[in-house]
Amino acid sequence: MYKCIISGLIMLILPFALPAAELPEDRAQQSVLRVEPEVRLSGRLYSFNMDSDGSYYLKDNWVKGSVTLTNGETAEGVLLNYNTYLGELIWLSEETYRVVQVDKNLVKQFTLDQPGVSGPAVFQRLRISMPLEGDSANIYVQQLYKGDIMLAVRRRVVVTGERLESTRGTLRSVPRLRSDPVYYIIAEGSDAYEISRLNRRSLYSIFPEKRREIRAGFRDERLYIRTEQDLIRAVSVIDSIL
Amino acid sequence: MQYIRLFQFLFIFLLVYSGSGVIGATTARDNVYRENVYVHTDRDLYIAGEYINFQAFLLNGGVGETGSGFLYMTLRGRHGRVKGLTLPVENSGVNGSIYIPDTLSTGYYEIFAFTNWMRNFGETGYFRKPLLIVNRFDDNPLIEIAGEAEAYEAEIFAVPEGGSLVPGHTNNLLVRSSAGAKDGLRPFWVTDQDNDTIVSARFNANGFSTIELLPEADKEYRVITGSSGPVSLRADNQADVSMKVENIEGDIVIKLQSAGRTGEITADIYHSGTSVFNESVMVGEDAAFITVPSGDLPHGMLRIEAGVQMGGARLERYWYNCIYDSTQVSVRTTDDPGGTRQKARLIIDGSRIDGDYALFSVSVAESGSLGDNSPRLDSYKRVKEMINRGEIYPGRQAEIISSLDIADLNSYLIDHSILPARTLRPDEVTPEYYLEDEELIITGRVKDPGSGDGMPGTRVILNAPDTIINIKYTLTDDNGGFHFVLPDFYHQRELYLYAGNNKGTEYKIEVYEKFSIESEFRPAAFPGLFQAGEHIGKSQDVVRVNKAYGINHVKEVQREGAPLKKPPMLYSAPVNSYYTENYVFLDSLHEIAREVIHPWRLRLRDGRYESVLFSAEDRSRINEPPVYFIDGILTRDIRRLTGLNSGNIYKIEVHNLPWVHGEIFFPGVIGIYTRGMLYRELLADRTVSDMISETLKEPTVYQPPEYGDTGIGGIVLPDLRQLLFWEGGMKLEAGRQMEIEFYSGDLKGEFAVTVQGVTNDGLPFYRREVINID
Repeated sequence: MYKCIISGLIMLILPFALPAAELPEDRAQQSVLRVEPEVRLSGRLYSFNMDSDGSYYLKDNWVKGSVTLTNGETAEGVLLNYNTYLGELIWLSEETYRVVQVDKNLVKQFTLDQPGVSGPAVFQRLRISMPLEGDSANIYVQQLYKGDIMLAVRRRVVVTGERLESTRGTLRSVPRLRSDPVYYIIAEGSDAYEISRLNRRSLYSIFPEKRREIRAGFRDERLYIRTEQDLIRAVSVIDSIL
Repeated sequence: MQYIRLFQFLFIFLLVYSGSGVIGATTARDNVYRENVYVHTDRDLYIAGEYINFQAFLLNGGVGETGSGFLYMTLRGRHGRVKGLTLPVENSGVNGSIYIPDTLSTGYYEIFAFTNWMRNFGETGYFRKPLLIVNRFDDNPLIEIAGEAEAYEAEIFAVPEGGSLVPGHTNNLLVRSSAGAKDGLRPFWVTDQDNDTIVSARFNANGFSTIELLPEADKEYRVITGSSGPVSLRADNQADVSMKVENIEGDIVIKLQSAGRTGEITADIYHSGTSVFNESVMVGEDAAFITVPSGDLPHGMLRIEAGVQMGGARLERYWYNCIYDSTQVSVRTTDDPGGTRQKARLIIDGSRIDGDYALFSVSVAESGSLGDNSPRLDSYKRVKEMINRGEIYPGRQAEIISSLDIADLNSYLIDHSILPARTLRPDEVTPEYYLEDEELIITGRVKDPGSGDGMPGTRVILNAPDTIINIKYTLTDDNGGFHFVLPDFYHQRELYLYAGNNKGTEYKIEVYEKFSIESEFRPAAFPGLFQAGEHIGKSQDVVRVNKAYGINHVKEVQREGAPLKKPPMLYSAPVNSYYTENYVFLDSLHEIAREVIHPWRLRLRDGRYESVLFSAEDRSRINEPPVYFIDGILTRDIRRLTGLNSGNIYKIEVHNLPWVHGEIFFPGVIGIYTRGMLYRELLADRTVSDMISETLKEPTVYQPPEYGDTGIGGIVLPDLRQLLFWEGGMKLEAGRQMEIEFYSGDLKGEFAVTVQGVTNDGLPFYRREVINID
């Protein structure tokens, strides 16, 4: 019994007699008090609501994402969605539950998480000229391919028709929406070129001086442009040629 | 029983190898990032109206690449702060200058330098350097300075090396004054009991000196200075071994001598309580030597003990072993200027840099303007390491040691009563100040206007006056405290802070002043000051002449770098803007709203203003009154603005949309922009901080004249430079050399070349050479 008591006392005293272990370096790295700037999003209260055939939201639900403002600050982990009819970024504030249409001219870029896909969808604000209107406009485009040139798409829906619906004796028009993406090629320091159709010829017309090489490249890859994925592959071929 | 033993074994095993249990725990301070600052100033003595040129080095003593991006410097005198500077750090340093106002009175001053992070560890960790500043209009500056100096009583210590004064031996004796530099350069004498002078010597600039004394047995000696009563010394007749330790060409040599007795003496060397060396020698009539290469011993404080194996007194002394090469950079002059307005060349040789490069600063200044007890970068860094290891007390002893080279330090350590009896345990530190690595941070507290208690959960809004509405906000913590990270947009601006409720009550906001130093002002001592009267008089004349001719060699440099970041904006553009010059003159804001701004109704009813906006979306009435901004600064009180008219308003922005910024809802916004910055008058009672805008400094360069080989150059102005060359932020790659050229001026005499810096691996160096202008 005495042996047990002595052993117990030794076990109690021993921790205080032995030298302290060293902390791993990564834990020591954290012993600095830092503060991150709080980044706030601005915009008008969002009240858009339109009955339609087909959804005008890019995502079925709110998704986590980030918004990088023109001043370089980034708001991370915010709930976002994209209205493809208005072409506007929508934010749900988790603190106040307000839904806000983010001020487009304060946004440089935003991302939307894509569960099950590696990497988020990255959107950037782009200024395009509208020659018919004699003006230019800010739009959001999603980056599909980024190298020395970039392939981007403007996710949008257009109204293709309408159907009439009678509700409680009132006749109302319900628009039919169809996805109508517009693709752009953007080279560093130059305007964005709209790709008029999903075919090879529209790409040749953007790079007329490299037409032959591009055609040869497409032939080597046996590339026919019919889908968005085909277009991405095609632009990567062009990027490697330029 | 077997199970009990197994349990015991497992328990002990888990305790020993646990990384996070009781054994694995360390104090909070052990793993908190450490940071220090050293400032090299071109001189130590200045005349009011001159510039203090400086190079600050951020000495990162911690883990990884963490480091502050901003440094604070304050110049303080007896009556308080003279200047405060906020300095952006680049490449672990910053160089610049402080202008000493012409009207500054003669006296002692202090420069403090620190980072926001260093505030967590107390002011004893700040860099402190005393300066002497003399007003050029003072006819008797020494009298002014004498009046400021504190009366003191010094205690004199006479300590033999090893601890015992051995009769019949030549003993190495440290004589030091507790007054330190106040007794600097003071003469002292050692007399015997017949009042015959045995030794006549002088303290060094730090108030100590080592002498050799050959005492006789049974005789009394006295150490006499002018600042205290005599101190008696008597040989220890029981002592029979003396010790002297020296560094000879990189070896620690322990000389042991016995008083005629033959026997074996053992020397032990300890580091952090662990024996690291042990050797025995036989001593007889001749001295015995024990030699050990300093590189074979650990770096840092060693305790050396020696004595006979059985019985007899043990000798003991402390010794600082510096094993890294402190001659990382060497300096030599190739062309001494010789005469006035002649070219000089310095070669800075980095062939021994142990690392990739060295960052350093160079000054060439008249020797009379330099104090002998000024802190040196190599010694200062050493002192910080000693403090971190708990080997010395921070404070005055550390300040003395920070000006000593290794040889002087080891002389000083003969008296180990200056050291703590045990290794100091570091205090636990829970950091409360943030590391400002990329952005400046301002911190403050919101208080209830009545009780003065902190108000938790209160929104604080920050704006800066501008032609756009910029806004940052945050919530106070449990103590009512808040902080804002400030992008560089805010650096040159006044910061307006607002905290209040929806009923218009505004709370009191206190912004914490970063430059205040709580510790008591201590006038420094400049040893030899009263012999420097002629030099001071000459320096005053130099500045008078330079002012008369408008001569100034310090120029501001426009900082190159990325453009300022855009501020956080409330909106990118308002729905509408109205420029008053496009309309007839209207006498009041009320009339302007009524006649010009159609979505805005502003009515005075029963003495109260009713303000309503109609939405741009659907023209419906927005239920709550809009929020107002005057020159970009928020105010909820329309009454402050109703006196404005078309003459003092140049633009009104109307943003008539229900608008959100973060968690704040704005039921419309009216932004009013005035001519002539009227916000200052209209918001005169608001909390404003200009701490950053008033103190942020641009870098400066020192541009001395060049004369060409003829030494004339067509310049007719007098050249009375006491600072021939200054440059901070210099970089030298390892293995390379750098050549520096400069011209002497019209002043003759001795000039000191000082080069000090640090390698990228953190090894400091300090070099001083002297040149003479005939």
